[in-house]
Parts: sequence; C-alpha cells; structure tokens
Amino acid sequence: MNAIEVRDLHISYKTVKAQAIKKTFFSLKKSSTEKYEAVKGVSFDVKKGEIIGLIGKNGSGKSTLLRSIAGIFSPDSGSIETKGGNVSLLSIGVGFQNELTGKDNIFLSGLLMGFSKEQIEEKYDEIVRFSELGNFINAPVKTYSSGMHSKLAFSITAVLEAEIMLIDEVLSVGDRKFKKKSYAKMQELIFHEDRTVMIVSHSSETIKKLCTRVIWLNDGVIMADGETAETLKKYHEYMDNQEAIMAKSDKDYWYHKVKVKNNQILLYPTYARYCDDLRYLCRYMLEHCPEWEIIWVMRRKNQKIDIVSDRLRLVLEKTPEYYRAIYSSKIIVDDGVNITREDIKKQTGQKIYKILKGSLGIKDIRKHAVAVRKGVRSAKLVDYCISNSTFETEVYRGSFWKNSEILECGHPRNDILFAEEQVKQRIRDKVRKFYEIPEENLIVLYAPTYREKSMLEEQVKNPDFDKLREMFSKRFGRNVSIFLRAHRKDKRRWVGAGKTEGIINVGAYPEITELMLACDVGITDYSSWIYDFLFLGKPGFIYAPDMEIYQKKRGFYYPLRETPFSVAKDMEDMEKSIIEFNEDDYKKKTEEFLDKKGCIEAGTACKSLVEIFRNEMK
Amino acid sequence: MKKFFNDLKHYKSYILYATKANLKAEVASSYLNWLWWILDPLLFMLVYSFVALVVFGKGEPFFPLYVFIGLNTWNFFSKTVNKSVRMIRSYKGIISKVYIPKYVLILITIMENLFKMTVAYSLILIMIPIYRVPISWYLFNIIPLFITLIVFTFGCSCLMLHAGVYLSDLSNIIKVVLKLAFYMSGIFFNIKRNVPKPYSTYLLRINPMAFLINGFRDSLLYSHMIEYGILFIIFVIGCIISVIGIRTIINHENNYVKVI
Repeated sequence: MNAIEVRDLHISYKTVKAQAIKKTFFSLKKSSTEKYEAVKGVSFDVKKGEIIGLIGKNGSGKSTLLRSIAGIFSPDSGSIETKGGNVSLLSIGVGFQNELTGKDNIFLSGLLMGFSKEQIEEKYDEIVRFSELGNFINAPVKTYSSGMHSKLAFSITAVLEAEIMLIDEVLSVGDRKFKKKSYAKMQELIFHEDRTVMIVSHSSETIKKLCTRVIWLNDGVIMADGETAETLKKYHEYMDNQEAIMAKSDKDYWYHKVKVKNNQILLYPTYARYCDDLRYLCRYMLEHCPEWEIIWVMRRKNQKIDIVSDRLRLVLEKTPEYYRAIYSSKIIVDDGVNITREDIKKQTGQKIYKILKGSLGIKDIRKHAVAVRKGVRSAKLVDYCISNSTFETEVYRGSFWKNSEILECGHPRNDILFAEEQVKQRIRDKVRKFYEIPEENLIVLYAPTYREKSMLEEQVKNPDFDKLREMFSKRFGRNVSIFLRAHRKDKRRWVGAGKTEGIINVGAYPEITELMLACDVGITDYSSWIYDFLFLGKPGFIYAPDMEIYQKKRGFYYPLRETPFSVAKDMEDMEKSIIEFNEDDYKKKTEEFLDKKGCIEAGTACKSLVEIFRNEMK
Repeated sequence: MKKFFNDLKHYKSYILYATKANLKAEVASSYLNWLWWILDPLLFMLVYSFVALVVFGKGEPFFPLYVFIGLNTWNFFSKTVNKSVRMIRSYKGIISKVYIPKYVLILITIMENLFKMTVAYSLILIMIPIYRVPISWYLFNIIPLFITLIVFTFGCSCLMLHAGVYLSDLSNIIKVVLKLAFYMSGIFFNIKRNVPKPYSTYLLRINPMAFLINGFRDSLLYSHMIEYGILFIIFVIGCIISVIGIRTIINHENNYVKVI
C-alpha cells in the first residue's frame, strides 16, 4: 500500500515579491514576476512503512518537496496524495506562538497535526515528561531558551506519533543527554513498521543508518531513486565531480585575483617519494634564502614530505590556496609534467623550471606514457629545463621541450653525492641504524624500474636473492643484506621481502639518494638512479632478464652495453659479472661514460639554481 | 466554498482552543487581568465624553452610552482588520511548519474580539437601567446587526490579509484609513446633526460602519426602527466580499509562505 503518491509535481516560487506600496503605485510596469521552479516534475511512490532518505545539495528542492507533502506549499501542477492519517513535519524551529504557554502550544500543535483534544490530553503528560520542561510548561514560550524550545518541539512530534513523519535535518536537539534520548526515540519511531518516514539530511551516516531507500534530488529533478548504498554512491560521485568543476572556476578566479609575488617559489613534486630534487632544493633554500616564501604542493592530504620547517607552506592540490599559490609564485619548479595537470595558464612574469628525473638514464622519455600525453603541453609552459650533461640537454631537445632554455647546472638531488665524506657517513649511519644493519654487513640495493601496465604482461622476476647474497658474500668476503626497493604498485616484486632473512623492504624510505649513500653495491634493470649512483664510484650491476622485450617496447637512448655496468640476463651471467668485477676497470669505464655524456655534475646544483632564481626575482 | 465549510468543521476545536489560549495569554500578561476588557472601553468612553461635552459642548441623550456603543462596535471592526493585515507575517512561524487554512486565523481574531465586544455589550445591558433608558422590542434588532457586522468584518479582513502579504507597508496605510473611517463613522458625535447635508446622508448610507453603529444606538437607546433595506444591502455586500476573500485566500494561501 502506498502511503504517499507524488505525480509529476511542479512547485515554483513566483517572486511576486512583497512590495512596498510606492513601487506598485509608481511603477507603470506590472510587477516583475520572476518564476523560480524549485521542483520540476517529480514522481514517486512511498510504500507504507518505508523509510526514505532525501539527499541533494543545498537548494535542490528537498525541503520544498517535504513541505509540499506536508501541505504547506501547494503544487503548481501535479498531485500529492497522502493516505492514512496525520502527517507531521519535524524541522528546525517548530512554529510556536510565543505569547502562549507551552501547554497551549502543545494542544494547538496537536490539533493542527490532526489529533483530537482527547488524544492530546491522553499524551500530554508524556510530552511534558519527555521534554523535561517541568513547571516551565505553564510559562509562555517566549521565556524559553532555544534549547527548551527545540526540546518541546521535538517532544510534541515524537510523542504524538503521526503516521507519516517528515523530518527535515533534525535528528538531534538540545544538550547531550537529550540528544541521546531523542535519537533513540527517533529510531524507535522511524523503525516502527507502520510508520512512513521521509528524512532530509546532509549526513550520509544518518541516511545510511536509517533509510531503506534514498531519493536523490538535484535542481528539482530526481537523479536517482533506489537502494541506499547505491544511490549514495552515485550522489557522492556526482558531488565530487561538481567540486572539480567548482575548483575550475576557482582557478579562473584566482588567476585574475592574485598578482605574482617576486619572492615566492612553488615546488610541484610528482609524488611524495621520488622527489629528491625538490626535497634537496627545498632544504637548501630554507637554509640559505630566509626572505623567500617557499610553497610545497601536496598531492594528497596528510602527505609526509620529510622536511621539517615552519617556514615551508604546504598547499593541497585543487584547493583555493593551491590556486592562489600557483598564480602568485614567481618561480615554479616541477619535477615532472605536473603543471599540466590543472590546465594552468601562466601569469606574466612567472617562470617555470623543469627538472628531469631521468638525466643520464637509458629509457627513452618519448615513449613514457605520461610524458607523451602531457609533454607537448608542458613544453609550452616550461621556461627553463635543468640539465646535468650535454646528453640530457639532447634529451630535452630531442623530445618535447625543444624551445625551452636549458640550464646546465646539475641536479639538486645529486649534490649530496658530492658532499664531504663526513656528511655522507652520517647519512650512511642513519640508514644502517634505521634498518638495524650491522656495520660489517655489505648492503646491496636492488631497485628495479617500474613497469607501466603495458609492460607488465611479461613476467618480471626478481633475481634469486639467496644466490645473490652468496655471490656477493664470496666476492667481498662480508655478510650481505639486500635492500629491495620497488614501486608500491609493483606488488609482485614484494614476494618474500621482509620475510626472508637478509632481505629488507626499503620501499617506504623517502629518499633513494640516502639509500644510495648507505649501500655498497647497486643493482637495477633499467632504472635511471643507477646513473646517479655512478657519482659515488660504488659497484653497480644490471640484471635485465627481459632486455630485448623491454627495449623493443620502451626504447633505449643507447645500448646497455655502452654503460659502465656489466649486464646480466640471468643468474649465471650475474655470477660471472660479480666474480669478474674489477674495480679499476669499472672506474675507468665510469669516467669514460660520464665524459662521453658531457656530464658536468659537481655537487653545486642547488647553489647555482638559487643564484639563477635570485637573478630572476630581481 | 465547500472547503471553507469543511475547514470550519475540521478546525472548530482549534479555533476555540486558540481563541481561549490567546485571551488567557492576554489576561495573564497584565496586572488587572480581565478587568481591562471592561476598563478599556469605559475609560475611553470618559475621554470621548469629555472631549464632546466639555470641549465642544455638544451632547446627545444618554451620551456616555452613545459613545460606548460607538467605540465598542468600531473597535471590533478596526482591531480585526488591522490585525489581519499583518496576520500572515505574525503567524509565520506556524504557517511555515504546518498547513492551516489562513481564514482560520481571521476567525480566531474575530472570536477574540467578539468575546471582548460581548463583554462590553453586557456592560451596556447593566448600564441601561442605571441611565433609565426606555427598553423596547427594537432591542432584538441588534441580532441581525451583529451578524451583518461580523460578516462584513470577516470579508474586509480576508481581503486585507491577502493584500497584506504582498504589500509590506499596507499596515501603515490601513492605520490612516481606519482613523479617517473612525471620524467618518461618528463614534462620539452625531453625523446627522454635526455634518452638513447632504454629506451626512451620504456618510450614513455609504459607510456601512456608520450605519451599523447608528443601528445599534437606535435599537438600544432610542427605540428606533432600523432601515432593514440598507442593512440587507450591507449584509449582501459583506457576503460577496467574504466569498471573494475566501476564494482569493484558498487560491493563494499556499504561496504566502514563499513570499514572506
């Protein structure tokens, strides 16, 4: 049986505004009747005993709908039928006559709700008891506090049990004790099987807890009507989307609103990890440039960035502060193609610096999916590309950033690799202590590259770590600990890590640079960190079982054998490489390699960059 | 109209309870309580008698009663109409939370003021023997007069209630209009004698309130027959504006909340 039937309901507010007489007399035109349609053709049935949640953003017509079901508004067209007895609307601030006593108001409200005087008399004591008003019930309502006011209102509706209850955003009133009591009473009322309930609430929690069905209204139209969880999900998706659209208009707003501040610099990292360039640059600036305002963009809330300073301002992506920061920073440093994410327009005078993570790396950036998608777009925005070698300069030139100016000043992340022995030792000790590695142990860092989805079809396998340990142990005469660091999405890599003795998962460690300093030997397949590792002169190996396939799909700038590393395709090769490793030979090859690539890295990147920024700010 | 009579039945107990509660509240908030219902017209009777007798030196037979009848009848009409103009706004709290036929609010006000008028008129019945007013069968003419007064007041109030919603400063204008009508209804002077002809006849014929007040006086004090023809016309006019008023309210009442 249907308790409420709504058919093609239209409700509009004709703004026949309340007018001053002056206007009516002196304006020749007929009063302008703007029409605002709050509910546009809504139809639904509510079965007896159903508990319906009405959701939707502010101004979507929820309260109007509820009020018209209660009979307060008349429909402009369409019909509402409520079957069964009395309908009550419970909403914030129930209407009382202030001069009258609480008692009189109880009777009047009850009579208006359709109860007879006798019925009210019967329940009167219960209402007074529930409201906790005591003797105040005989005082005029105007002497009540707002808490007493709402307690009384709630008690009337709760005790005089209407068959159809319409609840508008009030599930808790009064002090904590009363709140608890009223909520319990509410639940008791709502879950009564004969009672039909419609609840308007912005709290998804409440809706989830109470409702069996949800109707989602948007701009006066039903967007979805159905099972609670499903409808709520649709609603939230839609609202998130709307938020993004709002953010977009925010963006335009701030673009025009703010001016570029000369001493403001914004660092835009790709991830919370793997952003050593920005991290070292940031630390350097915090220390050496006290007059600069430094802003760090966070991609997620509560992101850990491992820089402790109250001078560093953190802004969350896509928030108003973020857009304000983006458009008011003189300098933006980007270690990816992040600036293209929001389709940002550049303010006049703004300069954008780009840092490539690959540097001397072997992988062809032109085949990197994200770079391909956003490279050209980012190239239009980027003013300067930071390079550490003629090779990297060529990479920039040969890919997307053909027209940007290139600054061969080295990479901030590598400065630490050129630091004094003392500084490096401190970091080594820190990492060893962190992972509880004994001083005498040899650390082997194995950090393979991340394979995008298209690359994952091939089974990628870790090397046999036990064998690896054995080999290194034999070669260097020390106990071996293996650091395994892989991308967090690359789950297959983790099998065994942390469980097998001597294999330590270092995926959560923020800075690969520090791990590089701490380890004694490095192994990768195609990852570019190993080329930064060269600056340390420590033995590095390449273990690349899927070399041919990877090369075909991803493309290399130069053949793997041109690197100073010995390349192994399987564990047998690996054993050979390790046993045959010759330090002098390796050093010579490294020098030749760096020379050939025109590398100028000398541990002064931060200093040079800051100098460049300082000139820019003038 | 069918709805009107259904509502009348349906909201009968509400109207009665609300009337009672309102009267009680009014009493509760003053020191002399219900005495004011008697004191108020009595004191004003003294004021206007002073003005007429001492200042202007013009009187009528049984002058205090003459003024008393005029004042009470007038007060019933003017207070009801005046309150109706602001009715929707003053009941906003309730109206926006629950459906209530809006003429029910007028009926409550009429009931309240009717009660007060009845108290005052019963006072007249006590004063009549004191002043040695001759009593006649014409006394019973006050029954049709009362009915006409109520219907006419109700009609005017319905129209004012509706207009008051859309014209926010109507209440100021109505105050002035009512004051003018107050003087044109001859509350404390005799229109026939103090207003030059032919205006006095126009006033008495065109101004229903002047006619009704005069009718009450003729019936109670002067043992005069009232002109039933004119009374009937006023009654019909009252019915017509009541019907128009009720219709207008029914058609628009659910939009009132959207405006205020």
